Order: sequence, then structure tokens, then C-alpha cells
Amino acid sequence: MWKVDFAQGNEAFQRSQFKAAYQHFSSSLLKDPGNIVILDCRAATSEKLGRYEDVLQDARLMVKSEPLKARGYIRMIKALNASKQKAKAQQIVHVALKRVPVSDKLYQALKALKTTEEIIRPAKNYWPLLPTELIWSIFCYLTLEDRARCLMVCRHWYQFFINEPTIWRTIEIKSYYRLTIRNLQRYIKYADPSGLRQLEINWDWSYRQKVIPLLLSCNLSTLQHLQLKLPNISMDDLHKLVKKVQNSLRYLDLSYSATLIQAYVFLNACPNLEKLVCQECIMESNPNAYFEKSLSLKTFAWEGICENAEQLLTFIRQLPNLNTLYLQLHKCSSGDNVISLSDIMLELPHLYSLDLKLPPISMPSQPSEEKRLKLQKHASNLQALRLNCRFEDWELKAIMESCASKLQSLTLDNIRMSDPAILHMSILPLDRLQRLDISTGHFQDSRALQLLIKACPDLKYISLCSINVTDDCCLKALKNCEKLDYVNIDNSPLVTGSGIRSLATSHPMLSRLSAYNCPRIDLDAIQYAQSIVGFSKCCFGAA
Amino acid sequence: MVQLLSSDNETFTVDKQVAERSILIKNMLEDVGESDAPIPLPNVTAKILKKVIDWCEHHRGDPVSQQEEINDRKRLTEIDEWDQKFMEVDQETLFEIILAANYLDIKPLLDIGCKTVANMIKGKSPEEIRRTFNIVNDFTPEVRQFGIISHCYFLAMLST
Repeated sequence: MWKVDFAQGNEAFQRSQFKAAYQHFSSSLLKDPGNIVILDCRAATSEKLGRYEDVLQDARLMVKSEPLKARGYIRMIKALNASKQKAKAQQIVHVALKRVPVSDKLYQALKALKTTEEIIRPAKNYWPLLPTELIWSIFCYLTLEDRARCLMVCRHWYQFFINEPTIWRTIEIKSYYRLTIRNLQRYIKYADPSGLRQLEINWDWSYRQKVIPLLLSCNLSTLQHLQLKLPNISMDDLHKLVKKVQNSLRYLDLSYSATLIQAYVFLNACPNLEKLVCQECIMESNPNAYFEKSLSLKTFAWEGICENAEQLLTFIRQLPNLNTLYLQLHKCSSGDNVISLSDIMLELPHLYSLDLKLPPISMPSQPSEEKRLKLQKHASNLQALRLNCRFEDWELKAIMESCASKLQSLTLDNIRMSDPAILHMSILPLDRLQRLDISTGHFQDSRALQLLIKACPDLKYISLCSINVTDDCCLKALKNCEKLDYVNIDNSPLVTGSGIRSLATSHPMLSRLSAYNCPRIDLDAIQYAQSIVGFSKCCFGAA
Repeated sequence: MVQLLSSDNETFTVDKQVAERSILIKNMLEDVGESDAPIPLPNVTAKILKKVIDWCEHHRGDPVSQQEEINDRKRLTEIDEWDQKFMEVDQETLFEIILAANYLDIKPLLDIGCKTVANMIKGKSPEEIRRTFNIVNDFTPEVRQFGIISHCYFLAMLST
């Protein structure tokens, strides 16, 4: 009924016949009193007609019936402003900003009104209130880009920035910065009195060719963190650069620099280097590619291909104090000479985090008592373990027995594990395990899985995605994990509505529940879970 | 319970646990012990003190963060929703909250205040920054010319 008048009203409004539109909206409103949409339209019409009292009246009704929505307030504030009641408008802006949630569509518009309000008020610069150290802590949050613009704001800021070398300690050049080499030089100079600490240059910065000569002309004796993603640096330049940074450097990222040879130069020269990152790097066999043992290096992250596995092991052998290793070996170009999980772990006595990916054709490792004991010793401090490689039951058993009480995160990608091996894991004290991801694993039935879940009372995150045997009993076993926050059971053909219901009931506070492509979950259960956990936190659907 | 006295002589009674979010008050209580007399806070007005107490009430259960590396530049400018709303005040109040957090030594509140101001600068052109904070452009024409020469390429590219 009301829709006819409403449509006519809209049409008149479109044609700028506001008086007619007002009539139509009013009669529409008589048929459906309190309809917010009509009220909103009528208020807009009154606004056009300059009848601000009428706008206010409609806006009041809108705010009354939906106090958490911004649109009523916005109408009200605009009307008050137009009728010169600025103080009152301002008051309402504040009230509205308190009530309306940030998620409201018009929240930003409401906030914008606040700033226009502020411009109307007598302008005052409050910066002089702040002491220097507080101004410093604010400016420290700015990126290089923002700092460059702040230089231009006023004389005071300009002086502040160029005389405060600590603000320029970090210089990071993103690829989209069109920073000139001259300005880079200037910023490094600003940092000079206290020393540049951190420099990041990406390979797609347009002036990358000129950066090495510039760096060689600067004082870099305090640089601790260097990210130099530049291919084709000549060895000569590299040796010069290393001389400048060798005593201070702690973190080095040489990703995309083609080969590891560059890294050898740094490893040989820098006694304090703790972390080395090399993505997309080739480990080549080169008679000159040799470095002394590095006792300082604690973290090594490398991703790429190597010529043969022995070379990789020789490299790792030179890093005896490594505690964090991220190694993604895509392939050995010689093909036949591949390595196993225990080959690597046997070289590293102090690991507490291991993330290992080896080519799928790796060799099975033959068990021996000596190997087993050493493996146990080396695994005793492990807190995080991620394996994406072939391993034998005895290897995992030895590692898990030794680190079970300390392990916080376990990820096993694409594993094939016998059920006895899982059952063995489930009798270990996995009290501290917070994150378990065994997606795409192959299991024979769900009982072993249930026992494993029951063995981990501290779980916050679990992913059982694409495991054929996951069923309702597994979800019910999660009941005891009080801290559970994230569950992913995508592609589980056996899970039904009953499992989802019990999970939602026992864990209503989940921040994510993903059960994509589980065909046996019925619509009722989905709606139930959405109503309890929250619509935006659930993910259901079909492939 | 602890009593706090603002600069304009208004008394606030708060839980000891809440008041001790302020390291200044915590140290004071450790040094002089508790008494019935209110603790004078001559640098904080009642209006601001009330805001600060609201914040401390809401964050009373937060774990006290460990001493961070002082020189570490924290780029994370994310602020959680409650704090974001809390900081939606006029600029004068915002700057006064920062000053009060600094005086009372409430590090997390100070950080949120500084982040809020930094976020008001981020991504803005110099002119927009001036307008936001009512700063007068006091560069002389010659300096402006110089500035334009040295930074124009950079800025022109940034604004596209």
C-alpha cells in the first residue's frame, strides 16, 4: 500500500518537485507510520525545501527507533547546522559518535561531520603543548613517506625532523616510492649523527642501480638491519659494503640475489650476524663458496634449489648455533642425492623451531640406536615444528618423545602416518600444544585422531582440513579444549549437523569456524552454528 | 580504594588495582604507603582524569606489558575498537590525555594517544596536515621555492 505513494514521492524528488514529493511521502507515512525509510526520504525532502524544523522532527523519530544507526543523527546535525544551532549540532555529533558502532555504513560520514565542525570552531594548534620527547614518540610511528611530507609542513617541524637523527634511523624504500637518490642521500645524512640502524631496499625501486655507489659513500658503521633485495651486485662492491657494516650487522635479507655467494661474504666478515634470510636463492657448488663456521647465526631462512644435498648439509654444519631453521628445498638439480629429515636434524643440536620442506622423493632414513638417541637429544628444545617432507615413523617418534612437553605448534603437511604412530603420539604429554595442523593427512580411521585431540588440552588452533576420516566424534573430542579459537574442517565428507551443533554449543566464542564443502551438514545445523558463533565467523558452503 | 585529587580539586575514588595502572601512583603508594588523604595530581584536570580513569577501568585486567626495546621503532599503528572510540575526542582533549598519560606514566595509554595522532598525519599532504592541526605555513617564499625544487618530484609522484 505505502509503496505506491513512496514510489511516486521518489519520482517527484528525482524531478526536483519537492513539494509534491513531500505530499507523497507524508501520505505514504500515514499508511505505514514509523517506517524509517520513508522518514529518511521525507527528511531529505524537507531539507531541500529548507524546512529545517520538519527535518529535525523526522530525524528525532528516526533516532528514537534506531539509536545505533548514523543516518538519523546525520540528518539532525545537518539541519541544526543549517539553522545556525552549531553548539547543539556539535553536542549531537559527540553523542552520536559514542553510540553508533564503527561498523555502521555512514560512520565515516558522521566522523567527517565532526571535522567540519572543528574547522568552524576557533582554530588552535595544540602541538606546542607537547614536550619534545612526546612529539618524538608520535613521529616515530610515521613511515618514510609520511616523514618526507612532514618536512614541508612548517619551519618548526622541518627543524625538528632534520635535527632529530633518531627519527631517521629506519629507512625503508617500498617499490612504489618514487624517492630520488638525492633525497635518499639526504635522509641518510639526517640519520648520521646517531647512525642509521635499518635500511630496506626492494628490487623494484627505480634507482636500485645507483644505490650501491651511494651506500659506499655513506657512514654505515651502525647499521644493524639490512634488506638488500638486489640482484647483480658485483663481488667487488659487496666486499666494500661488507667492510662498512661488518661489526654492527645483525640481520641480513638477501632474497632474490640469485646465488648464496653474497651471503658467504657476509657470513665470513660479520661476527654479530644473527639472522640471515635468502628467498629464491640457488645454493651452488663453487670452489670459492666457502665460509668459516659462524657462531653468531641463530636464524637461517632459505628457499630455493641446490645442486646436491651434501652441499646443503655442509652449509648447515657451519652454523652450529642455529636455533631457528626455515628451509624449503624445491629440488636438488643433480636429482639422485637427496636428504632426509634426520640428516638435517642430526647436524643441529640447539633447534627450537624447524620448518622443513624437502622434495617428495627424499630417501627413507635407516634407523639405528645411535641416530635415535642423537635425534632425541637434538629435538629436546623444539617448540615449533612444521614438516612437509617424507619421514619414517621412528624419526617422528624419537622427535616427539623428546619435545612433547615443550612443543607449542605442530604442522604436518600431507603426511602418511600409520595409526600406531599417531596412537603413540596421543599418549605423550602434549600439554602445551596450542596449534595443530594435520591437514590433508592420510589416516585409516578416526579413533586415532580422537585420541590425539584428547591428548592436547591447550589447543587454540586446529586444522583438520581434507582428512577423509574426520567425523562427529572428532568434533566432540574438542569439547575439552577450553581455549579453542580456530577450527577448520573443510572437505570433511563424514561430518554431519550433529557434530557442528555440539561444536558450536561447546565453543560459542570461536573466532573462526570453517566447514567448507562438508556435504552432510544440514541447513538447520548451519543456521544454528551461525546464530551461536556469529554469521561472519562461520564459513559453510559447497564446492 | 585510593583517592585521587585533580588540579581543580575534584576527588575521585578508585580501586587500587585500577589506580596502579599508573606507574606514578603505584610508586607513590609503595613509597609513602596508603592513607586516607587523597593523592594530589596537580597536572591533571577533573575532565581529563575522569577519561583516564575510564580507560584504566576498562583495561584493569590487561597484563602489564614487559619492557619493550626502547629504540625499537613500532610501526604497528593498529588500535583496537574500544580504544579507537575512546580516543574520538576533540584535539584539545586528545593532547591533554597524552600529556596526562605521560605524567601519570601509563605507557599503553600514551602509546594509543601517540598512535592516534600519528594516524591523523598518515597519508596526508603537508597542506592537509596543516589544516588538521591548524598549523601556520611559515616558510618564507624563498624557502618554499627551495622546498618545491628539492621535494617536488617526490611529492608529485606520491600524490598520483
